[in-house]
Amino acid sequence: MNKKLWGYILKRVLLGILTYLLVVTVTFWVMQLVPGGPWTREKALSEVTIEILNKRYGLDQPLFIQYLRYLGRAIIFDFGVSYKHKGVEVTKIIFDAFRISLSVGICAAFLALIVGVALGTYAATHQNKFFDRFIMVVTTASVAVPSFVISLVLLYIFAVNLHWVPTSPVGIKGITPFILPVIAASLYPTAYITRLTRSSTLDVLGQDFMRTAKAKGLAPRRILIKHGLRNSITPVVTYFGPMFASIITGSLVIETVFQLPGVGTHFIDSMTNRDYPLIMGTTCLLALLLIFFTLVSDVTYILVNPRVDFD
Amino acid sequence: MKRNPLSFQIDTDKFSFASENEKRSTNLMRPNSTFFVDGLKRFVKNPVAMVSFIFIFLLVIAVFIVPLFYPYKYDEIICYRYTNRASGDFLRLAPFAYAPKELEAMANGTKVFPHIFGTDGQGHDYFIRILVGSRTSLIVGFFAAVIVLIIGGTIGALSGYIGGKFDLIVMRIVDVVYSLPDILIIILFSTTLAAVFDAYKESPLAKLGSGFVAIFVVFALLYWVGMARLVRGQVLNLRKQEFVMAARANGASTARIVFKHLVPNSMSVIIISAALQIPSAIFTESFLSYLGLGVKYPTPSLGSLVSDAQSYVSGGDTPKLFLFIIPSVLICLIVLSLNLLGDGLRDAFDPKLQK
Repeated sequence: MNKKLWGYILKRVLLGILTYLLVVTVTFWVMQLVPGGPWTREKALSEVTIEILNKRYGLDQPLFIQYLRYLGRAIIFDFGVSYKHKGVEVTKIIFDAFRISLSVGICAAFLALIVGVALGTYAATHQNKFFDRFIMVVTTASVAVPSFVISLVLLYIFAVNLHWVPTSPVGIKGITPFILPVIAASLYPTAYITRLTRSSTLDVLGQDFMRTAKAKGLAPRRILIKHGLRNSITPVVTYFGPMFASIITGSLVIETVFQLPGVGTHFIDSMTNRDYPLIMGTTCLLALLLIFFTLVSDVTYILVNPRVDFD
Repeated sequence: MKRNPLSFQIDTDKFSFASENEKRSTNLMRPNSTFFVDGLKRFVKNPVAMVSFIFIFLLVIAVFIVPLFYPYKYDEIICYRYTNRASGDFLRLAPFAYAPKELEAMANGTKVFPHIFGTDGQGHDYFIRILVGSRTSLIVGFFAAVIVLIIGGTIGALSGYIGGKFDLIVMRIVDVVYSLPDILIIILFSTTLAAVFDAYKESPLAKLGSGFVAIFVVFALLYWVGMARLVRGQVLNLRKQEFVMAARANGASTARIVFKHLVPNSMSVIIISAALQIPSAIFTESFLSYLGLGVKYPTPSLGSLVSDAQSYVSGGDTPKLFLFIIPSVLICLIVLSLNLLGDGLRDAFDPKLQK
C-alpha cells in the first residue's frame, strides 16, 4: 500500500515536471511566431549593434540550441530580463508580485473553504427548507457571473458609493485594499464548495454508520462533526487543484480592477506592452504553480480517503 | 337458436373473428415510444430547463434576425447621419433619449428610430451593439463546442476502438494536455497571434480578431481531451455490453452494430457534454474580450462591451451605469441558462441517470 502510494506520487511528480517542460516548450515556440526580433524598435538599431546584442544573448545560435538553453534556464527559473523594466530580471518582478497575489489567493481559498463547507453542511442538514433552496439558487446563479463583473459590482457598491474601502490601494497601508479582491476571488470557489459539500453531506447522512451513531445516542452535533464532516469533506479536497486554478485565473482580472500590483496585473501589463520575456516567465511560473497545487490536491485526496484505488 | 344446456353441440358464435374493437381491448401495450420521444417528454416537464430553452431560443432568433432590418448598424457612428463632423451630442445618450439634431429632424417630420438602450461612448446605437455582441458570444460558444466534438470524438472513438499501443500513447498525451493550464495558454496564444496579425493586417483571419482565433485554436488543441476521454470510455464500455454481443451473435454487421447500437447509446452523453462546453467557451471569450485580447473593434462582444463601460463603474458615474449593467446581466443570463439547459438535457436524455 505504502509502496504503491510512493509509486503514485513519483508518477505524478514526473508527469508534473513533464507538463512544466511542455509549457516551457509551448511558450518558447509560440513566441517564435512573433514577427520581428526583440530588437525591433521604433528607432532602428545599427546592424553591428544587433549583431553584438544577438551574440550577447545567444540569439545567433540555431533555434534548437536556443530552445535547449531556454529549457535549461527555465528549470532554474531564469527567464531573462524584462524589456519594459530595463535590466530587472523577470523572476524578480514575478516573485515580488507573488507576495501580494499569494496572500490574496490563500485568503480567498480559506474563506471559500470555511464559508463553503459551513453553508453546504447547513443546507444539507436542512434539506428542502427555505434556506437550502435559497443557497442552491444563489450558488447556481453565481457560477455564471464572470469575475470581472463581480469585481466591478463590488467596487461600485463598497468603494465608490459607500466608501468603506479605498478605490485604489496606492499609498494605503494595512489590509483594507485586500478585502474586496479576496471576496471577489472567493465567490466562485465558495459557490462550488457549497454545492460539493451539500451533495456529499447528503450522501453521508444516508449512510449506515450515521444511523449507528444516532442509535448509540450521540449528540446530533457530535455525529455531524465527528462522523459526517470527516467523510463529506473528502470530495472537497479534490477541488483544491481546480480551486487554485480558478483563483489564479480570476486574479488576472481582479487585480487589474482593484489595481493591486500582483502577478495578474504584471501579466496583463506585459501583454499590453508586449514584454515577451515577462509573458513567458509569468506563463511558466503560473503553470508551475497550478501543476503543483493539482499534485498536492490529488495526493491529499488519497491520504484522506484510503479507499480510493490508484490509477 | 335455442339449445339444450346439456348438449355438446358447439356454439359457432364463439368461433367468429374478433372485431377490431375487441382486438384493441386486448392490447395492453402503450403505443411505441422511442428513446428520443421519452427524453423529450421528460425535458418538457422540467420547467427550469424549458424556461432556459425558451430564453436561448428567443435570444438566438433576436440576435440573428433583428440586425438584418434594424435601422442602425453596429459599427455606425450615429452623428454622421446628421453632420459631417464628429459631435459630442450623440455620445452616451440615455435609453430612448434623442440628440438635439435628431429632435430637430423629428420636428421637421423625419422619422427617427429611438435608441432603445441609448448610445455608447463612441456614439454607436447601444441596442444593436448588444445584439451583435451576444451574437459573437453565441457563435464562439457554438463553434468551440463543434470543434471539441469533432476532434475529441474522432480521437476518442479511434483510441477506444483500436486499443493497444495506440490507445496507450493517446491516453498519455491526453493526461499531459489535461494538466496544461488552459487560460494561460489561451492568453499566450492570443498575445502572439495579435502580434502575428499586426504583421498581416489584410488577412481575413486578422479581421476576426486574435482572441477570436486564439480561442478556436486553443479549443482545438486543449479542450478535445475531455471529450476524447468521454468518448473512449463510452466506446470501451459499450463494446463489452451484452446487447452488442447478442447483436453480433445474431449475425449483425459491424456497420449495423455501430450505427444501431453504439451511436444511439453514446450519442446523448456526448452531445450533452458538448453542449456544456458552450457556456464555458462563452465565459472564456468574455474574459478575453474584457482583457482586450478578444474581438477587435468595431466588432463588439459582451466582454468588450463590459470593458468599454467599466470606467463609468469605477468613476461612480451612476446615470451611465446601464452601459455596464446590460452586457453584464446578459453574460450572466446566457451562461446561466445554457448551464441549466445542459443540465436539463442531461437529466432528460442520459440513460444512466434514469431512475
